[in-house]
Amino acid sequence: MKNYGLWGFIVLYFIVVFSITKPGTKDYNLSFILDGLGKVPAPMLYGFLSILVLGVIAVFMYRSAGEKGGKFHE
Amino acid sequence: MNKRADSIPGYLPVLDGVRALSLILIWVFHVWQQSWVFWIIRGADGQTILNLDLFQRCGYIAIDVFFVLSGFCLFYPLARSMFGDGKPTDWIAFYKKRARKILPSYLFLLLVIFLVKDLGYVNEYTAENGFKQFLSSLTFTSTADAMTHGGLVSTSWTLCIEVQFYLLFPAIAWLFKKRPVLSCLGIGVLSVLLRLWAVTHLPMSTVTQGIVFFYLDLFAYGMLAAYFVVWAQKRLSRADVLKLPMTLIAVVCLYLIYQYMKWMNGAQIPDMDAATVHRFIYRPLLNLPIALFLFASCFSYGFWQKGIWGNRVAAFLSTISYNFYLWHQNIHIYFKRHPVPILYTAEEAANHAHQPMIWFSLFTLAVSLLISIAVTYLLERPMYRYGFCGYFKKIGDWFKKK
Repeated sequence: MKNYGLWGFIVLYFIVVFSITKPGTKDYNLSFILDGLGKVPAPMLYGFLSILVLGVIAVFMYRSAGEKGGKFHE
Repeated sequence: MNKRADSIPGYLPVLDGVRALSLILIWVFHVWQQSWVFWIIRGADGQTILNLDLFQRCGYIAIDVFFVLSGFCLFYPLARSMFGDGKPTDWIAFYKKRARKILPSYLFLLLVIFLVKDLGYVNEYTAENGFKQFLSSLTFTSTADAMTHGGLVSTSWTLCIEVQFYLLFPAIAWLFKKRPVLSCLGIGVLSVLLRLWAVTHLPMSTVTQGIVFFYLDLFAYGMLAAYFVVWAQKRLSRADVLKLPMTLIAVVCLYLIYQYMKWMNGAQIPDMDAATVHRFIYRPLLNLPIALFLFASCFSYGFWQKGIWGNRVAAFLSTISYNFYLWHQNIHIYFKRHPVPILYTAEEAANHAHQPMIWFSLFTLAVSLLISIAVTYLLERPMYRYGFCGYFKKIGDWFKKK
């Protein structure tokens, strides 16, 4: 919770999203976009969830092989 | 087995398969647009045995695959140099290589269209607008005007985006070299915001859809996948223990792409404009699985990497992919304007008669393959290898010998 920069970024992102997609600018406003996103089929959600679980399993498998891996360029 | 996979250092055979599959998908989509033959096989009792019309309707997703793949391939050598493999980036050499790869085949096609007018995608260019068509095609700016958008070469709008991205690539690559994850995140957010702004403020015209800034995240996902492939190759000394989860992740990614196609196909959208908006907005849900598939497949089992995705057929299709991509839709158009009476008549082509249009599909596929093979092996590859002057010197030498 100490990462104020990240939270600030997320809040700013949504402010920008709401301001550029304010209702009435065109036919395709925020409610249209969110409506579509709400209709993402369940198999897709399960698919993304499966990838997350498989990713976690991969990390555990790698660690259990006695390796930690290296750092990114960050 | 694909010979290049064993002889070229850092070669990733999976990319051949992905490029080949995308090529097939885009052909399936385009030939359907011209023939309106649905690939549905029914049994004697009328029951559907095989229904492939989803791939015909949603084959356009291959464009996204091409852009993600392009980001991957462009950044892969740079990522290798970040970890001490290969040479440091020479941008002059980079642009020369890109020009040698892209220009000869493209300019040759434009020359053929100049000579055979009916090969042009739209048949309405006249002396007045013909100059504009050719000028915009030659400068990769045909996406800037609805009249010239894909006017001569049907698929050139994606080539315009690709070439325009080359101009931005050094700056984006510089950012990626500093902070790859953060850069990808930033470009991803920026692209989503730009697309949100576009659908709420701009008409969903072909011009809007041809702006390179709306596609930056696709390239960025590919670039990040390339970075992580090299990172894992160099920093994970026991990457072999990850073969099972990585193969499973790759399979799930394919399943996600298939589900995305079903979603796009079945979405209840009131008009065409809204359908385009739908595709425009939810792009990351398609492109993240594509990028993740590329990464995961590089660390999967050998049968998956080399047997399924990197086999000889895939490598061959990948080799001719650029020319096939450039030519196939223009060939469809040409042979609809000029029927082959032994296979189909002009009336049958106009009415999209089922059986004759199957012949049309097979015939144009054969012609596209033959032309792609000829142009790839007689022009693209030797021109890339020997350069412009070297190519003509080789031809001169060959004639002297004869």
